[in-house]
Amino acid sequence: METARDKAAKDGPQDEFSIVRHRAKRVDAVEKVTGRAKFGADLYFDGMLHARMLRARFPHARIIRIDASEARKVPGVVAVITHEDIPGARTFGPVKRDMPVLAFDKTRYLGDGVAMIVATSLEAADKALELVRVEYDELPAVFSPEEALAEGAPVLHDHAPGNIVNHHKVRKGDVDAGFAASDVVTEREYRTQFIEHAYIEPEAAVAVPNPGEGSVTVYGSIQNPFTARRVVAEVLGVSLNKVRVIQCAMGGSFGGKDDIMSCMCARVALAALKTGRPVKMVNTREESIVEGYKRHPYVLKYKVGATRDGKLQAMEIRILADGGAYASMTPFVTWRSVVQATGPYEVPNVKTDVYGVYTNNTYAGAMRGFGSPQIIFAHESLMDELAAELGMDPLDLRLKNGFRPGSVTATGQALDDHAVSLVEVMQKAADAIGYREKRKAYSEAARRAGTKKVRGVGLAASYRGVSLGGEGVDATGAIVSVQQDGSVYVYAGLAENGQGLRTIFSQIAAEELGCNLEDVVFMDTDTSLIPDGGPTVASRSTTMGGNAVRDAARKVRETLLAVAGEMLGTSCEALKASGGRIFVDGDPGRSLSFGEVARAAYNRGELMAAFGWYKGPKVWWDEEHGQGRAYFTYVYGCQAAEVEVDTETGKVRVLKVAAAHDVGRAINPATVEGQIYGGVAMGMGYGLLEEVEMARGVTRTRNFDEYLIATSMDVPEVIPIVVENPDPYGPYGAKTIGEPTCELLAPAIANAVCHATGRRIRELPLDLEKVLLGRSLKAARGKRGSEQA
Amino acid sequence: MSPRKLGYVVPETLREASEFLREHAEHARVIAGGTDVLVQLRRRPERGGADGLRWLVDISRIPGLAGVSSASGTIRIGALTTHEEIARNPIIRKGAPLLAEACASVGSPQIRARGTIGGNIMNASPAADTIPALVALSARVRLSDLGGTRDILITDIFEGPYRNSAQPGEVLVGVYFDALPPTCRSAFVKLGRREALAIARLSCAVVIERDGAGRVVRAAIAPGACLPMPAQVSSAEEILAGKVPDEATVDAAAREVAEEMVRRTGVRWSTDYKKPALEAIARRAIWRALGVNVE
Repeated sequence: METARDKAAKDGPQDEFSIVRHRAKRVDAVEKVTGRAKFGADLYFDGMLHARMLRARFPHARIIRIDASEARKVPGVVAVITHEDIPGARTFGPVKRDMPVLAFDKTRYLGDGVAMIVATSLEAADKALELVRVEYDELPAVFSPEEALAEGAPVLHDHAPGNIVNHHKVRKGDVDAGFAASDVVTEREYRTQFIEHAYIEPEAAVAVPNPGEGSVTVYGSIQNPFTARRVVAEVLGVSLNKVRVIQCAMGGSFGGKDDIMSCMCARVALAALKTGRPVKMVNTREESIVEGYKRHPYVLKYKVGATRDGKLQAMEIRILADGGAYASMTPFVTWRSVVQATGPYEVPNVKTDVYGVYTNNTYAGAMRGFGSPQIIFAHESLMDELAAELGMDPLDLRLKNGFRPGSVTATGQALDDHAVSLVEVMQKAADAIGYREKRKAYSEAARRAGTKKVRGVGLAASYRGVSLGGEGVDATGAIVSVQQDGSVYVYAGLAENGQGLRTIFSQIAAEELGCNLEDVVFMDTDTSLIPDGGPTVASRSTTMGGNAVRDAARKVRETLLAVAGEMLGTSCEALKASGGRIFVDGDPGRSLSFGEVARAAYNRGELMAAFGWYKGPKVWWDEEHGQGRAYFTYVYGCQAAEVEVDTETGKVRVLKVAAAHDVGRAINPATVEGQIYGGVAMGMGYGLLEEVEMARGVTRTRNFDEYLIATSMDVPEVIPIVVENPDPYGPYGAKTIGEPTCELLAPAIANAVCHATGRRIRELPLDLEKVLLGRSLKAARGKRGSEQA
Repeated sequence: MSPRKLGYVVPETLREASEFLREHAEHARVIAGGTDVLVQLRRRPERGGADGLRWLVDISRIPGLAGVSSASGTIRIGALTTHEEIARNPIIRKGAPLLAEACASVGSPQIRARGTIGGNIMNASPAADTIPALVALSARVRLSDLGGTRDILITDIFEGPYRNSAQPGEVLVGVYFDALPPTCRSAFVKLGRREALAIARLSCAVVIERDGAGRVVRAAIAPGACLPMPAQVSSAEEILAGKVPDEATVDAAAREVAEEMVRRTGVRWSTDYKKPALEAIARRAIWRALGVNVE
C-alpha cells in the first residue's frame, strides 16, 4: 500500500511548500496599477535629443541617393544619420544577417528605415523628415509566397536567388505505402493571416553615451537585453562590454520586442555616440504596426490517410510561410512547425516540408505560439474534417490516435520520460464544456427549421516542445544575494516581459531560502550584472530560469543552514527553513529568524550570494533526415469552445471556453490562470477578429480602430483547468504555460462553427463575411471611410 | 507623427464661438468631447487627417448646450449632451427609446461619457450610431450663428461621408424631435464586428405607429452604415403602411431596404455580404418595433 510519505515523495503535496504552488500576488502589481512603473517612454535625461525615422517609400526599390542637406538646416536638427554613419556592421539578424539597421542598397518593405533625424524636439524632427530627399529606382516586388516562388520572380536578397529563407523537412516511414493502406484519404488547404502582437506599449528606447570611448548604455522596452546588446555592439563596432542594456518595465511583448528593439537600440546608440548626447526614440502606434514584425501567414496543404476504423496511416504536408522582407526568426519558427505539424497523433508515415519565403510584405518573426498556431489550425481542422468523412465523433478520432505514454512522434522521438497527458487534458476540457451532450443536442437543434442562431461545440488539442529544443544553446543563470538584514536580491539573465517572471523567480528564491516573499526584490535585467542567459522566449523562463534561481538559492541556503546549525547547536540536516524562520524540524520552538541568521552569517564573513546555472537536457536534430529528439519535454493542452452563430449575419459569439493545460506543476496557480485567460483572449482574436491587412506591401490596419482585438465584452466565461503531472526536468516539476494557451482556440472555434452551421471555414479569421458567405471579401475591399480624405 | 501645435480657444458665448469660427474658417474646428477630433488629428492627411487646421474651438464651456428637456411634446437635446446621459435619460427612454439604444451602443463607457450627440452628428460618419435613430425620428437640428439660429432637417446637415453642411461660423446647438406617442414603438439594431468599441458594420432604426386594430399608421425605417447619405427608405415604409403586418409583409419590407441600398450605392465589394445581412438587420428591427423579439 502506498503510504502518505510515498505519495508525498512522488507528488509533493501542497503543504510541502510555503510559497511555491501558492497564489502569490504579483510582486510588480502595485507599481503597475499605481502608474509608478517606469516604461521606456517615461525616461528623460538632461540634454536628451529625440530621434525619428524616415521610412521607405516603396516596398522594393534601389536607393540611388539620400540627400539630407535641406533637412540638416532645420533649426533644432542636430544630426541626420544614414547608413554612411555606421562604424560597424550594417546588417543584423538572429539567423541570417540580412536586415539593415539603416537601409543602404535597397528597401525591401515599407517599414525599412532610410534616415534618422536627431533633433532637440519632435516638431523639428518631423519637419526635417519631410525635407530628406531620397532618390529611388523602384523595383518589381512580390507580395505572397506563391508570387515569390514563381519562375523569374523578383529577387529580394542576393544570397537567396529563389527567395527561399529555409526549407525544413520531416521524413518518417513511407507515405505512399501509408496512403495505399488507407481507406480514406483527405486533402485540404488552410490559410492563416498576418497577426500583430498588439502589445499596449509601442517600442521605445533611450541611449546614453558613457564617458568611456565608444561606450553606451541603452534603456528600453527590450524583450531580450542580451540580443540587443550584441546587435548594438556589432553595429557600433565595439566589444560587448562597452554596451550596457537595461530593461525597463515592459508594456507587453508576446515575442514582438526582439529584432525590432535590437534595431531601435542600435539606432539610438548610433545617434547618442554621434551627437554625444542621450537620444530617445518612441514609435507611434502606426509606426509600430508598420515596422514591427508579425506572426507568419501560412498556406498549409495537408493530405491524410486513415483506415475505415479511424487509425491514421499517413500524413503529407506542404507549408509555405510568408517571411516577409527579412529572415528574422523564420528558420526557427518554421522549424517548430515542421516538428509539430502532424499534431499530437501517432502517424506511422510522415512527409512534411515547410518553406520560409521572402516577400516584400512586412517581415514575420517571433510571436507567442512561434509556428504552432498556424499548424494547429490546420491539423485540428483536418481532424474534424476526417472525422466527418469517417462518420466518427471528432473527439473519438483524437482519442484513437492521440499520443500515449511511449508514443513515437513524427520526428522519431519516444515520449517515454515524462507524463504524456494528452488524453487527460482532452477529456477534462470536453467534460467541462459538456462536449458529448452538446455535440448531440446541438446537431438535433440545428435540424429544426427556422433557427437563426445556432450553437455548436468544438475542440482542439496540441502537444508542444518546451523551451528552445534543437534551435540552439539552452542554458541560463541567476544570482541570489542575501543581505545582512535577511532581505534578498534576485538577478536573472531572463527578463520580465509582463508574463510574471519576477513573481515566479521571487517565489522560487523565497521557497528555497525559507524567507518571506516580501523580503525578495527582483532586479531589472541588466547585461552588465549577469551572464548572457539567452533570450526570454519559447515559454522557457519557468523551466530554465526557475531551475537556475533554485540552484542559486539552494547554495545560499546551505551556507545559512550551516550557520544556523552552529547557533542552535544542531546539524544542518535537522533544520528547516520556512516562513521567515529557520528551525529544528519537529521542534519549532528552537528557531531563529531568517534575518538573525543572515546577520550572523555576515558577521562571520560567509558568502551569502550564489550564482545558479541551468543547462537544458540534451536534444538533437538531424536536418537532413528530418528526425531527432527535438525537445527534451513536451506539454499537452486542449481547449473546447461553445459558440453561437447568427446564420443571417455571420456573427459568431463564443459562449464559453474550457482550457485544460498540463503545466507539470503550477508555481503560481493564479498566474497560470492569468496566462490561460490572456491566451484564450488572443486565440479568440486569431480565430475571429484579427488580421493585419496588407495591400501590395501597404499596411492598411494601422491602429486599433481597424485592427480589432477581442475586448472584455467579447471574451466569454473561461474555465481554466490546470493539470499537474510533474516533469522530471522543470523546477518542482514545472513546465510551460505561456504559449500553449494561445495556440488552440482558433481551430476549436472553427470546429464549433462547423458543428453549428455545417460550413467549414479553412481560412482565418472567421469574420462576418466568411461565416455568412464562406469566402473572404477582403481582397476586393475598397477604401474605408477613414481612409478617404 | 508628433503632436501638432494647435491654438486652443475656449469661448464662453455662442457669439464668441461664431466670430472666431468665421474669422478662421477652414483653419478652425469645433471640439466638444474630442472622441473623433483627437483621433483625426493623429492621421496624416492622406488617411483622413485634418490638414491645415490651426485652431480648436472648445465649446464645452458655453452655457445652455447640455441636457435633455421636453416641452409640449417636443424633446430637445443640447449639442453637448453625452451619449451616456442620453442613454440613461428618462425622457429619452420614454419618448425615443431607439435613440437611447443607439447611444448605449456607442463605443465604450469612456467614449460614451465624453462623446456628444452634437459631435456624432457633425462628424457625419456614415457609421454613426445616433444618426439613423435621429433620421427615423425626423429630427431637426438647430444651428446658431451671429445672425441668429436656423433649424434644418437632420438629413440636410449631411453633405457626404465626414462632411456636414454647416457654414463657417455656424455651431450646432441642439436636436429637436417629437416625443413618440404611446401608439408608437421603436427599435435600433446594430451589427458590429465585436461587442464593444465596434463601428457599426450595419444598423437599422425603425419607428412604427399603429392604430387600435394593429394597422400601421406610420413607419420610419432608417438604415445605417450602408447608404451614401443618411435617409429613410420610403419604399420599404410604404410596404408596411396601412397593413397589419404579417411575416410576408415584414420580409418584403426588409428585402426592400436591402434592395434600395443596392440601388443607391451600386454593387460594391461588400454588397454580397451587406445585402443579405442588412435584410436580416432590417427585419429584426421592424419586428422589434412591432413588439416582437425575433433574435
